[in-house]
Amino acid sequence: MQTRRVVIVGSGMAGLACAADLADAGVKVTVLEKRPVAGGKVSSWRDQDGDSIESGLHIFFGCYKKLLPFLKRVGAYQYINWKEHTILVAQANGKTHRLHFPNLPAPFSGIVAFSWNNLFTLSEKITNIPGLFVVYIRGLGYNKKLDRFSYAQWHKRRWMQQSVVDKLWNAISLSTGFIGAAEMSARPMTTVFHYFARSTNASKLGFLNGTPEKQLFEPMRRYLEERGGEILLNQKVKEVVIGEDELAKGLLLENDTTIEADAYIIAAPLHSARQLLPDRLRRYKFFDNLWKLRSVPVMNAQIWYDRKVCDEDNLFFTSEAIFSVFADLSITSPQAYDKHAGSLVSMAIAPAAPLWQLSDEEILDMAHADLVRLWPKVAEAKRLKGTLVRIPNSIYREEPGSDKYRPTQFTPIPNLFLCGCYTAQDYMASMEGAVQSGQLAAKAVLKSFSQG
Amino acid sequence: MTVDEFVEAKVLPQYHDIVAMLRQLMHEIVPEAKEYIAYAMPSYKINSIFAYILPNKNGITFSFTRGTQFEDKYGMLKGVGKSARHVKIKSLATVNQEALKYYIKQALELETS
Repeated sequence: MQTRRVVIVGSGMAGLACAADLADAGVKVTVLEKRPVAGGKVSSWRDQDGDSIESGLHIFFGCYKKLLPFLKRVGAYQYINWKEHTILVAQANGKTHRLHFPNLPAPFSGIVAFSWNNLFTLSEKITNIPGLFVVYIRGLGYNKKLDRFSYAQWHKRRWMQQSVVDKLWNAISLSTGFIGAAEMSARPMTTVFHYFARSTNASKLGFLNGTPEKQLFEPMRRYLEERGGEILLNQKVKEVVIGEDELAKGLLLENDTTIEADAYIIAAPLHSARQLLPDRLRRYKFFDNLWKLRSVPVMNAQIWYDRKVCDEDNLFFTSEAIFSVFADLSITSPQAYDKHAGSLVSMAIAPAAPLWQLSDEEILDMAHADLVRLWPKVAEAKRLKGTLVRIPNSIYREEPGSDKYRPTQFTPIPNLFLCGCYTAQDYMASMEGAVQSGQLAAKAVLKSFSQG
Repeated sequence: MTVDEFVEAKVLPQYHDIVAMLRQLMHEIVPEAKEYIAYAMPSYKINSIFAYILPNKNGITFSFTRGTQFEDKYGMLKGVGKSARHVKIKSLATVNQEALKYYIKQALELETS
């Protein structure tokens, strides 16, 4: 049988998960990446000092049912450091609240974690459990119907207290979707709750024990190359060429050459995917809907200190800072980040829009000041260096009412496919969502090949 | 956390008077706005957050969510990006309150139009 060729635009998690499945099926895969590094929203690179700069604070959850097996397959799973099963919530003056999940079957583990802590008051605890129990007993179809509400609205409708949103869910919403609980659709949040309530280790957190560059994308590249595939960096695609017969004929690159294949997959982020599509495709409602989705900005700050400012080997959430989630990478991932004997604190700043107008230095100053309040030991440390990565168009904005505009991986152009966490997949916008979408796109391509 | 608690906890004492002045101005010009802490910053909301206060070690940054749409006859608006703009205030003595009122009124007009 003739070997089929597929070109994938974008080397993020979605594109590479798709590429791996296609390569396994004997398809010759070429992945085009416009930047000099692979990884998309999970990428990392070295600065002039040789320090690793990450595009974000990337965390693995135990409930990542597609991503984790994928990492095992490509030989990257071994690089995840799983942490104690505890959610840490940081408050001013070094106060840390712990929601510890004991080793009990789900949902009892979560019930204990949410009942046995000092973060919530008794009345908050009493209303939380029955309020959230509905997502345990109902299936994902129920969550999908909740897309008309914001999480905060749904929370209120379930008779749970706003103070719980303020203390925890807002920080979780900002950490995962980069928008607050009042702007975030109830669908993705309750989907996460559903997963968390169904499996004991679903909410367990893991950090990569190195950089995504070395420990995610290098194994993925190797896996692909061993199966005849390739990742080409610095290859910017200008447009998908669509013929008069409504089939994709090739990808026009910035250097005005065209790459041809049997099928094309756009695995680029939403805003880039829109730029690659010829305007005339917007006559299809399917494609026009892409313009009804929005992207959300995010920033990631990294500050190096001359001494250790934290001794907790885990992720922190907070509602009291310009960042919602943070960790000392020198503790959580010492293999890669404990080079200077001091701390390297990584902080995801969201919502980023209000601060975007400020200079990097001003934002880093604010992040440092907030960190001093949360971790008083920071005040004694000297700031060695700080970096800020700004991503103006990160994941799609998971706002109420947006779910109906998300495209399937199949498109009206029979040999053109889409993937990325903004496309239809069960999980929220995340690494897991990206991998789910990539695998769905691979299935769609293989199905189209089998149908001739 | 209330705005008063925020000021106590996160604004350097030498800038308390600036924040008090801004809160007073907002209260006078936009009494219908809700003043509260959103995303760890004092914010003003009618339909959405249209102004917010960011303290730092060098002064107070008074921000307008849709500042790029303002007219700026005083030339005091700073910032980069597609939407928000701000005025930096280092001392109460040098602040141009007329200019601040001019910006606040535009923020209000955009918010309610």
